Amino acid sequence: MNVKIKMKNLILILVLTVVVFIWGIPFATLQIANVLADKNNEKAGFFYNRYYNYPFVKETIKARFIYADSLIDGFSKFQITFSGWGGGSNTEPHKLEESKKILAGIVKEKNLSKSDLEYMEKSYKKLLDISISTNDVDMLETWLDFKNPMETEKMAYTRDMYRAFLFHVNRDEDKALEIAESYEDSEYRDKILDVLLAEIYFFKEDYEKSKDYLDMSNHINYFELKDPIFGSHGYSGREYYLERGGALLGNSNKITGTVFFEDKPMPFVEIYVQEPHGGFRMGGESYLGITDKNGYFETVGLRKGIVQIVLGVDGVVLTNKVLQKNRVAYIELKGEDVNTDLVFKETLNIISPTSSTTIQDNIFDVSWEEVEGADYYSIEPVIFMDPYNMEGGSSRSPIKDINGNIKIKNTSASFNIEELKDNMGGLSFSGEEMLLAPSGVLGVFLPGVEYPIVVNAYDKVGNLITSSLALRSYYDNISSIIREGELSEGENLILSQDYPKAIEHYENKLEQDPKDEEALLYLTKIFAIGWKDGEKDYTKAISYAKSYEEVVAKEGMIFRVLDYMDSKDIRENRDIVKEVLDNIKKRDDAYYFTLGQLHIVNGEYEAASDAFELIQGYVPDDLVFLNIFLEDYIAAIKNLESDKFYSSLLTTSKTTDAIENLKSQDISVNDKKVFDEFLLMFLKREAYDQKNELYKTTMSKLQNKDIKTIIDQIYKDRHWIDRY
Amino acid sequence: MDKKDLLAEEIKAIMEDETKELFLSESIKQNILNSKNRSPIERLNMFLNREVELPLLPISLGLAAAIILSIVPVESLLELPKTRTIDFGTSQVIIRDYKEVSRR
Repeated sequence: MNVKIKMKNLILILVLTVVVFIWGIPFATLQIANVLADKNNEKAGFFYNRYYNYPFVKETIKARFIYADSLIDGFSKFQITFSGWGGGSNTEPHKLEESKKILAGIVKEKNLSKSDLEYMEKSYKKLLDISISTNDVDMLETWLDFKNPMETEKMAYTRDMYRAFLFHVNRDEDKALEIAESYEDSEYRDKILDVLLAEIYFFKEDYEKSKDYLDMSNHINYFELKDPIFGSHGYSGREYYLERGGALLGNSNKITGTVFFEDKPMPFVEIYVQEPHGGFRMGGESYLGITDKNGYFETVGLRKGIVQIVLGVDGVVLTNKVLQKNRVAYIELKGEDVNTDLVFKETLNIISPTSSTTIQDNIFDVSWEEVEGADYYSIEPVIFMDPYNMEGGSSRSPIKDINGNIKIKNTSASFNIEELKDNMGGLSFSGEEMLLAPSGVLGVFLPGVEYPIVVNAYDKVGNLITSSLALRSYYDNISSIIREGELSEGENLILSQDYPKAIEHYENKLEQDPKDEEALLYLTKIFAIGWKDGEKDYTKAISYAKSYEEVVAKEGMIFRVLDYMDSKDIRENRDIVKEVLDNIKKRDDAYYFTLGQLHIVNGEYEAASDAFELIQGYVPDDLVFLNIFLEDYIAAIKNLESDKFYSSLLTTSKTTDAIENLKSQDISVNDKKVFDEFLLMFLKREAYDQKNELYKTTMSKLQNKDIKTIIDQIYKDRHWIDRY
Repeated sequence: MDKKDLLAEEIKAIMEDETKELFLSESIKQNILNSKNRSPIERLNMFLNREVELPLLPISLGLAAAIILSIVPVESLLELPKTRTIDFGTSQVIIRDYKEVSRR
């Protein structure tokens, strides 16, 4: 269809089109990018990139700043404990480098228009924020010393604020205060100054004055605060924290220490302190210490009690770091300062396999670079509950090499996939029917599935030195193997969780060939684990396991069945368990642990204690509970103080002092009876189902304060404390 | 009264009377107009008022496509790296469907 149009109207349309292309399109692109960014949509980056590269805006200062800013996901810290982590922005390292380069280019520009100066100011502040968030004090000092002849007074103000912040972090509060106060009546005064003054007074422990400045900063909170201050959003919760009364703040205890990455100090690491209430609570927290340029930190004064430390670090610097574990999972504040040093280690480098290595036979090798101070290494494949889609959660546990070793002393090891098939995978039940996840039965190294491989290095007492898996990793940088081949018909039935059909399929196969290895293996596992609630059948499982051991001429499968028994299962199948244990020749830690459990369900507590004592690799907490039950308090304390007992609330002096006190006390008959009943419920695994009621009734019947303390510590250690 | 004025009126009346039945063809009119010396403004007005015939549909579609392709990074969206985050115990692992150029 043609249309007649006067030339003047055509020209008007052409002019409008030019305006659209020069101004409208970049404007629309930027608006779309902003909307997507507000919704945390990862497509926003493409629109920012398009905006930045658009011909008519490409070289403008505004476009360069907007694009550089878009490359940074945010300034929220990862908060790391010895047992986990939470939160954190997701900036990729190469994007951060690109952003730094663009921002530096803007800040060094010599010919800027008046409107460009605003973006130079913003770029300069962003560079200072990045310096702090990436723990780079040299970069911060370099930019604090930098001066552009065109710089504005606002830029000079920003420089002074961040210089004062550096003085504050290095605990030179007088110099920090001097700079800050010189701007109190300045026209440039903004939230940055108020936060700085609030921080200075917070660490001077003048919390009233700190709160006054936070009030002046117009109620900063996370949602209002788009831009970070001093490279962090850590100040957003400060006011709320003080309004709640500043939990943990006191005046007699400080935690001091250092944070290093290998032998280099890590400045600007935020130190959070938290009561051990089970897990880590995100949000509403406020950091109570920050490392200086030497990596040293000193918290404000804290009240007495047991606490755990949480480190706040930007995720972008964690992609090559592992937090070295030590015995100090909890810190006891008893009226004096406590020192604790924390070390991030460089990740261990796996030489072979590389990412997505395909293996064609049953043997595969893993080799890695030696780690200084490592006594042994463990190799752990990551197993997903839904292995083909890498979904449904994951688990990893050490696998034995071809020599049967879990603790590998060399820097390489070989593994036989066929031998590893006997292992049961991580257990998970889901759906209305609570069906068992396929990986529980199918185990590890299924054909066509990619299995990431993790290597950990440990010292002589079993503390993790480092790992091939950083606190934050990109999957494509992780070693992994894929086994060639296809699943059998039965394996496909298990994969689709059609267990009744899988059982029927394998039972038919056994009718045709009673020595069918695959059928015996999977039927053992299906009945030992129970493919859904109420479907365990240990008689069948043991029977299939016996046949399997005969067919493959190898021991171990029968005992693996016992591994999946809980206390109730052992009680209901005690004859089977006894028979299996009597016939086992290899008596390792797993054997003695199961033997101890059998003695407990039989009421043979001294024999149970003797069995647990024979465990070499670790001290089970059941042994400590038995020690207390048998009134062997000296042994209980000795076991709690052992390096082989897991670091926990039970190892703190609050617990050991309470046990120590029991030695010299005449415990009343009633208290002893109530305490014994409580301990037996724990030992027999009957406490969990009625933990809330048990806690209330037990505590209400008890008079002895030390026994109450012990029970309280057990509950806190089990993370049941929030539930009663 | 001025006599000249009366003469002019008389001549005008005679002219009108004599040319009453006289008509110019369109081509003669056009020739006269073309041979006339126009001012630049007249020429511009003429140009601006000239009508052109345009194919509406292709132009509209072309313009719309050009605007959309200028705004939407289609090629990038089609190759959108699907990233998701999973946990391996105490580590956060980011799965992306593109790889870094070099390993550390």
